[in-house]
Amino acid sequence: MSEILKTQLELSVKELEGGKSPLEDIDLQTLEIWFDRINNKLLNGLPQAITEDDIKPIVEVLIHKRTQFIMEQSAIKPSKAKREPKAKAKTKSSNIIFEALDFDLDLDDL
Amino acid sequence: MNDLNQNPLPKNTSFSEKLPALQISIDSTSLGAFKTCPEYYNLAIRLGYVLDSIYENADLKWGLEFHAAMELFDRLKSQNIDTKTALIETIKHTLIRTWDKETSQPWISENPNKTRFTLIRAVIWYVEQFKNDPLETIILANGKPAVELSFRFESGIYSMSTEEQFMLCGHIDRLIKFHNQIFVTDKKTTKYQLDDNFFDHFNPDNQMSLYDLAGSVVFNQQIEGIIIDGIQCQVNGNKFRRGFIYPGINREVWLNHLKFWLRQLELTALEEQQNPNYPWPKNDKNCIRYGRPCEFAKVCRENLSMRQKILNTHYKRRVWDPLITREV
Repeated sequence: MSEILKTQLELSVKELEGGKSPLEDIDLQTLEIWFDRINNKLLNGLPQAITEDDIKPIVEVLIHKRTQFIMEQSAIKPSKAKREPKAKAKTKSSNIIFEALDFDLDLDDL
Repeated sequence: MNDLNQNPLPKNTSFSEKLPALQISIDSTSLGAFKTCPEYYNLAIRLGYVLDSIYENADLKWGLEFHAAMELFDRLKSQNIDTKTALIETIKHTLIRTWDKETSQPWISENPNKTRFTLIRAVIWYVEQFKNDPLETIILANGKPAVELSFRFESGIYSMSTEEQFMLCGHIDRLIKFHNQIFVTDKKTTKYQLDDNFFDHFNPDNQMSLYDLAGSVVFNQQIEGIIIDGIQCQVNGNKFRRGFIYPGINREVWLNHLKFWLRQLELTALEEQQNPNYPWPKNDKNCIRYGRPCEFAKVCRENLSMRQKILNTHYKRRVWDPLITREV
């Protein structure tokens, strides 16, 4: 791991631990660094060396990303709602067939 | 036609000793395959052929890992371990499981919706979504949580030729209590919208009807219905929606109709004995399913002399034995 990435990682962890982390600024690249830290342990055959501290930042950031995602989704909802009735009214029955054909049932028997 | 047993596979214990082409212990995958098309069942279940690429099927791998992760989480939770600790342990376990020791790299998926990252994200988001879940996992009489339960029970239907009783078997995700009623739960993933159409696909449905029946028979519980947690998987996020279905309304009808399907299965197995390695009847109305050609379409298109060659070239073999218990 490069020194720059290492520093970035340490800073991010520190921010999280301090409870004042600007989680908004943590992008997926930073998340990748945490994944890399775990991967390095696995690469060295040390799964038992993976600690709560390795996992915790990933969990916290992804929980935050979920909140962001929900907010983004609710922000784009109104425009979607405007378009939907039009499309449905036009080809209601063919929409149903289309959805049935495209439905992903690969995991039917799990 | 080449000998199918040139590379013998482990014995499939779900088939009859007396009539080797007849499956006696049936799960929803086997029954569903036969209902779809007898020849599909013959190739995929009885002979165990899978397309080479299916071994790398990202949807399948992702789904298995997601179920394994949630099973572990549910087990930890039922041991009164707090949500945060259970989740961290589950994520650790999942990251280890999705590390490929042979290639010394994480699992690489070609499907951007179903990667190691989206898997970890989906597990975390699912737990977050249902963190105040009112569903309570049932604790069985042996003190264990009713999670990932393997079941097997007598169908009451007998083979005409061997007089063996057909057994029904499979695995149930979880038995839960909700408002003093008992439900079976299952999780289903899709890349499409979680609208009413999504849940309509599961009622009537072979797998859900069998789960409902199994819950009632094996666990001796009055099963109210099935709760399906739908998980939409996309590159940028996951959405969740919970739906309730009630296949139990037609439980007896389903069981009665099962006799029809098992008779057909037996008749076809008897045909196989008379005329080994001849294709089983095809349901050619199902060669395209969900907008995609059946994975065996290229076998069925060719003439008989090419059949085995195509199978040997494009497919691998594995044993689909529903009596083997899952392990996480």
